[in-house]
Amino acid sequence: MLLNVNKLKTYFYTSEGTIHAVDDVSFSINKGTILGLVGESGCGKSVTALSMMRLVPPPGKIVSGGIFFDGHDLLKLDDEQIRRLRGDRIAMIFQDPMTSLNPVFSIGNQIAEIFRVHRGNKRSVSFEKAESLLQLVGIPDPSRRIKEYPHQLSGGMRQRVMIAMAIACEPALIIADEPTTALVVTIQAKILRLLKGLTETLSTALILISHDLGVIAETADEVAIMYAGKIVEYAATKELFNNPLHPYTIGLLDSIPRFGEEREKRLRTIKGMVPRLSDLPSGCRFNPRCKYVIDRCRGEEPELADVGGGHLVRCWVDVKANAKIKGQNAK
Amino acid sequence: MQNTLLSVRDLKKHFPVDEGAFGQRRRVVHAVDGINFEIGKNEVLSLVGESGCGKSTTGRLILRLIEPTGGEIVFMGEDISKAGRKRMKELRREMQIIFQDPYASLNPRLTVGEIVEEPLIIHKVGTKQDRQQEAAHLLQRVGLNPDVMSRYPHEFSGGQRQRIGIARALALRPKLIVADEPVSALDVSIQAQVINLLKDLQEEYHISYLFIAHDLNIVRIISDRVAVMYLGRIMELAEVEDLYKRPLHPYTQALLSAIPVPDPSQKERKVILLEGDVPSPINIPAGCRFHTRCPKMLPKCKEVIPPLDDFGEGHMAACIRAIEWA
Repeated sequence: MLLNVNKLKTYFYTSEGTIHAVDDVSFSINKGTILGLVGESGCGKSVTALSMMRLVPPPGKIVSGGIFFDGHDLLKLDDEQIRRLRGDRIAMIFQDPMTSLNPVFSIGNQIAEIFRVHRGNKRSVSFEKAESLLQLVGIPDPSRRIKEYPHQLSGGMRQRVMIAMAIACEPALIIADEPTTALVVTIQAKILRLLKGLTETLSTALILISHDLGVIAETADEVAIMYAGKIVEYAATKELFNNPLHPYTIGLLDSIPRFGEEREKRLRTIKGMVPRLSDLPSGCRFNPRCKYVIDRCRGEEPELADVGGGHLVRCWVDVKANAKIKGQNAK
Repeated sequence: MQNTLLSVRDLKKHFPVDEGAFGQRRRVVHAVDGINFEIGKNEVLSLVGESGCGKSTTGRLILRLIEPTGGEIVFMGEDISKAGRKRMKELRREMQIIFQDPYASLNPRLTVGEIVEEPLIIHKVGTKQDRQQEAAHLLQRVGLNPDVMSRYPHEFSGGQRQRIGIARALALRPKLIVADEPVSALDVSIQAQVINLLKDLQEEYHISYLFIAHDLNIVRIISDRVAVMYLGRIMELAEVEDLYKRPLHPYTQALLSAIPVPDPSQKERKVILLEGDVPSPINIPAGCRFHTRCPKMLPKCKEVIPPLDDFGEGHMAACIRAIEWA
């Protein structure tokens, strides 16, 4: 096991009260595998990622739990130790490459810096390595591009530069936060292939954060669905898509349009909206939007329980049985 | 087309850019480079394409929020491309816009009631009481409780703000709404709600939409017809199902093949990957502007600019090989 996140809690202490951004989240990931982390804005997926990098901005704080990476407890390392891991053994790819690249340095400079800092390479060596990395991530004409600045590149190319920087030290773990959200489908497909290829050739583990279930289905080996700071369902990708058990997962899958012979006229929706983390409903956090809700859901919060074969669900209701009963009543 | 509401002919927008320290080299971005299409009454036409293809510029040109470099915009029989300020103000009763960013498009200092009422005040519709009643009615229609009237935009979520923006666009009962990526900033579960609302309103109020988007699944749900743009030009235009089932342009074929499918058993399906990046709109390739990335390119494509030809039932494509797939 490469990474194990155990009962992680990251809270933000604001004037409006405590925000439970990540609330008791546990998961683990092996070498060479891809974990998809799915959820909507405010579900805690990005804060989970930042927690793993120990980059939670104030007033946020990791309150409790453990993050064990390759034998280290990341929460116990001092700042210098964590800085050495970051960018070397664990790397992160952010959603917006324009704000994560430095506009006043050439991209060659920015990639070469990694080799200078983490590997102590000389300038010429690090530039050579930077150029071959650009080639690896599929940037055409790397010897010319290496001298260019971020604003001279297209969005897709910038994202590939970010990936080049992330893989520079052949990290054991890459965390990619919505790496393709801003890109058109054709570029998205290429970037996802590139990331997938890395897990195969370098045995890198990848945590892919996305709200796009299509992207997850095509890329991830396992999936965790998050809602309002908690994991509500966790399963192998095939199992999750073929046998979704949490009403939220079912709702998300239902809201994707499907196109068979007849074109659907309306999209199915999940009613209501994502709750504010400072003002969570009691009991199950999804209960005000849930169509399977029972009294128990309003008073008592369900645990994440294994329903067999490592398929974890946080729900009081047996959705499958319930659907059958509802169907019969309708008849 | 019968019942044409809007007809765009050879529309162009070229932005000059100065290069060099003293602006001595003048170059031109061909953002929209000669496009033609029509929108019928009660019709939804979508414009799709990658960022920078000119789809948003097209939407803004039609409303004359930016000035066209050339071409005609015929709205309800009148060429509005050179209409004066006063006439444009009158015309804007009939044409409205919904913006992508629900956070930047509502005035934070106005209450929700004032925001929705504002178009009615500008166009001097009804008495104060009528207008407030109408604003309350519109807010209710887009799914908000009318008691939100006295609250401010910051108190609302992205989805709710987009509903406020929609109510404002509806206030004057326009004939045409340009919806520029109206749901791409919203969460997935909220996107579906807003798309359904837009569809319902379109039928109820008999509005035409120019729907600008890059999410091809949403486009398939909402559109009657779809135009695919690339580097400022329309590459293909067809009835929505015809386009998705029988794409005739290699660019459309690549786009559609790359839509992620939420079904792990289809992981290995064939995706057409395009080589290289979109060329700069400053140096548009000669011949077919897609030829530098086209997997089906012939030598001739470097020289001949393919016209947007009709391959039956209004299915138009700008490719010399389109007949092979028709």
